[in-house]
Amino acid sequence: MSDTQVATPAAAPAVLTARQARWRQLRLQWHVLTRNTLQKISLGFIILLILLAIIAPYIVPYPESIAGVPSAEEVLQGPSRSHLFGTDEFGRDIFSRVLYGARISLMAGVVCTLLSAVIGSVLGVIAAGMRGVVDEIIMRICDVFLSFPMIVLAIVIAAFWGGSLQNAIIALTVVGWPFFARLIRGTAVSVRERPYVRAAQALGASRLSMIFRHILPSSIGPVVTMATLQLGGTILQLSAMSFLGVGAQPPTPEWGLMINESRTYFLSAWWYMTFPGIAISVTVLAFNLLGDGLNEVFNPRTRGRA
Amino acid sequence: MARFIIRRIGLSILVLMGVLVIMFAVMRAAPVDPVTQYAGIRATEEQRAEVRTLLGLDKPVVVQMGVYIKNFFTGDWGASLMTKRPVIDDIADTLPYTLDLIILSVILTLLIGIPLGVISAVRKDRWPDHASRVLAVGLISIPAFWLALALQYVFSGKLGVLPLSGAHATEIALGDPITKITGFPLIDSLITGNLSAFGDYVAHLVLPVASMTGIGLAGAQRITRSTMVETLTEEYIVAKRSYGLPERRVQYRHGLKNSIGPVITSTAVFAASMIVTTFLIESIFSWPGMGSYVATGVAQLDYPVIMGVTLVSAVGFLVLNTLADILLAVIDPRVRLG
Amino acid sequence: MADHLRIRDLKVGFQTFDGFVEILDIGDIHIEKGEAYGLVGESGAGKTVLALAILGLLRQPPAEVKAEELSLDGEPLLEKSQKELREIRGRRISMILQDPMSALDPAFDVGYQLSEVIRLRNKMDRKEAREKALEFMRMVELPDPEMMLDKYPHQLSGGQRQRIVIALALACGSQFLIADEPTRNLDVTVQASVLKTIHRLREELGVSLLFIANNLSLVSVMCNRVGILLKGRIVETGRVRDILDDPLHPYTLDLLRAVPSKEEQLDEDEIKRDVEIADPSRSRCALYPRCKFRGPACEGDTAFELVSVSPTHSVACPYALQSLAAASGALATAGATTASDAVAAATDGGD
Repeated sequence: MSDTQVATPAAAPAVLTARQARWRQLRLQWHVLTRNTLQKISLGFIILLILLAIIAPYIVPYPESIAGVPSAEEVLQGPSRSHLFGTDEFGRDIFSRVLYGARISLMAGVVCTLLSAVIGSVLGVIAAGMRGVVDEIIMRICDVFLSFPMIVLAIVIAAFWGGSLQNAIIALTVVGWPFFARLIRGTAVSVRERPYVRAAQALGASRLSMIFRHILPSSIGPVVTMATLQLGGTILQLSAMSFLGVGAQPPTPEWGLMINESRTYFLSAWWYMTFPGIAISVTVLAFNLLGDGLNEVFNPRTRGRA
Repeated sequence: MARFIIRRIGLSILVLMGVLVIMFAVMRAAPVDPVTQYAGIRATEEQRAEVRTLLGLDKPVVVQMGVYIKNFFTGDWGASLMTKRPVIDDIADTLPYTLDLIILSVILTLLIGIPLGVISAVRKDRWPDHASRVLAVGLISIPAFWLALALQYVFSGKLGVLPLSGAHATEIALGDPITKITGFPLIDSLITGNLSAFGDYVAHLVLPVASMTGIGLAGAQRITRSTMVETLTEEYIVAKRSYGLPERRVQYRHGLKNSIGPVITSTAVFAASMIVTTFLIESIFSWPGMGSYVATGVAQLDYPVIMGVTLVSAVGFLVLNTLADILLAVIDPRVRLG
Repeated sequence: MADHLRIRDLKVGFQTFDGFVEILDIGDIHIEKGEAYGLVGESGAGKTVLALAILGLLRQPPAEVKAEELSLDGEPLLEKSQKELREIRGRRISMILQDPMSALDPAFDVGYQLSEVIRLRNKMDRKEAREKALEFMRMVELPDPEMMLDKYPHQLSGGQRQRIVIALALACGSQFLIADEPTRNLDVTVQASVLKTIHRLREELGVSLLFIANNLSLVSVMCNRVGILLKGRIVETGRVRDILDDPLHPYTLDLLRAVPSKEEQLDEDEIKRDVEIADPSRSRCALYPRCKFRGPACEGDTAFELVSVSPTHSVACPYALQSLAAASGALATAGATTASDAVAAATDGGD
């Protein structure tokens, strides 16, 4: 009766301190997150993207292309050594514009998602904490907003108040917060019913402390996951709105806007349309993959069973 | 069961009211003066006063809202400033085209997306799973309008096998148009036996539907997979296996039936987002549906048009959600029996 | 009589984030045809894992199942493919699961779930299968089965659900039942009634039973033989009489004494011993940290083997064996008639 074991035996189960336990959990989460190559790549890509977005103005090869100073000689040229992605109808370097566009899309997306998340979380927590009539009202308001397909309402708002990137962001925030509100309320409700929370209540914990010490920590996981996934979606929608003309306005180098501008030349200048589109796709892809990974981290059941 | 349906529909009507109230508020809050819009910039004070009475703007806000809601239900949605026709007539013309796109896309999405998701879940972490997932997450990240443009470019521009835009080729539209019975070109052309028009319409349908389906099936695959993976961790799955039930039955009958709930709910959400996508796709393909109609309306700041289409979208969404909830009740006994 | 189920040297472990963790290390379990064997252990000792391992329901990474022998009716189970196992599951060995709420599919009514299993083994149409389902439901003493056929699991009470789960295991038609803590989630009175049903069924049908529980008194009522499971190892096994009259392993003693009684008064030393926790790394015996009788014989880094004390009774505890040996001397003098008396006699002299 020999002890043949295939891999390293686990250390004798020791008792961990609270800090050690938390650290171990973080390590475990990181391990799950970066488990496969695809996710590692997307995480790396996002970091790269953020860096690029920050330093874009400084490393762009043709800074004048961003504001749109035309250069008549180089109109509509294909990709070349001097212009990696070619030029547009004004002779502007598309590579520079795409690079700068990363900055725009990322910032806009982050602002929008963050606002939605904050507003939604606050309302969601209030709804769960206050219960009763307040809860019902907030949830019905959510329902009403959710029954408007996102972009439609956003387009309406943008159409009435003029198209601009700012208005687009506001519009999408207005339409986006119900997702977070619902999510947080759901988490909050399930947490507040848990025995340890009720025990705390019985011991006289105030509502405020319950919110901060119990509800919030449990909600962070799902919120972060949803925010990441929403971020991808928001970037898509912002570009869609710019494409339609109710978002960023020329000469802003926004990806969706660039694709719209490329339509007139679409059969002859394939590069004009292609590169901004690839930029959007790859960015959103990275966020979606990251979101998937986060989902596996915070929702262990999605990992399957033995 | 009936009680559940009635309750659900009642709830929808309430939400509909809320939607109408918001629409009214948005309209009133818009920095557009309906009087100026109607009467023109050069109108005199008397003319403006007349217009005001005509439009009912002299009545208290609550009454105005009441009038607005009543008008909604009677079909008086104002007239388009562009076409000068009642908005509701324009919508009746264009809606079938949009519905064709949406319905076909949803059907294809479900037919392709769900099986892909099931295969992924059942063969989790093996190559069919990885392949499906990469495909799905890739498709879902591509902007719909860009996919449409790309498809247009490849199949129409470069390969020339499919028509570039529109719903009917000019020869057919002029020479052998489809007689309108139901307003749905697919049905009408079949009923009247106009096969060349039918084929032509189908050819025109391919690219727009492909663009919409592409994105949709990614969503369906993802949610099906994730729900099924979770379901397959349930205790009763192990139980059924322990009785010796064949694996296929365990996964497809027990696993799938319990997973389908969230898939249906999200399909409703997805179908609603289709409403959005059609706007984009229609403008790219010059498809004569509601999307193009409202796109022009937006460009021209034709408010009755914008409002009308938004209402239809909201109502459509509501209807879809209600249907989805009812369908969910049919499938999940816990929902309908409480 | 031939062995219905025979397990020797079964090891089950899992590959986890922290490394490989061994859950079970079973030296020997053999169950004869028609016999009821009770496996008692605390939660987390690995009891359900054992049931799943026998049925081949553990996915082999991340789990790892190895055994010298794991056979049903003499047929080895470990090398079989999933396809072959599917023939065996249900037909020749079936399981009664622990939590009736999660063991039933919430999307199908009870009649359907029973018919499904029945039609697996018999060529019947739906009508006939439902008739047969009624039969099984009566067998498990469900009141008003006709009405219950169309009900969904969430509409039934815990006790009713558990009976359905039992009916499902029976409907498979197997001759070997594994009952995994079947009454764990039920109220006490319901527990008694469900157990009575299981007991009655066993007598009528003559099936063999592996009864898994965390309560020794339950097991002693239901079973012929008992195995005591401590952190994945069997530390004592014997007939019910042996264990109840003659408990040898300190853990068994703990289990038996878990019911508080008025007569016993613990003295200070005992209390101190009970509370004091020793360093677990000094011995591979899982009870070492909290064992009252720990001593130098218990230290070491190999686990202890089961040693026969009588043809039907084995124990894996050096202290018990030591005391027993010492006691055979004291037997004559103290007039003790049972092993545990002898042990007690031997320890009275000095601790």
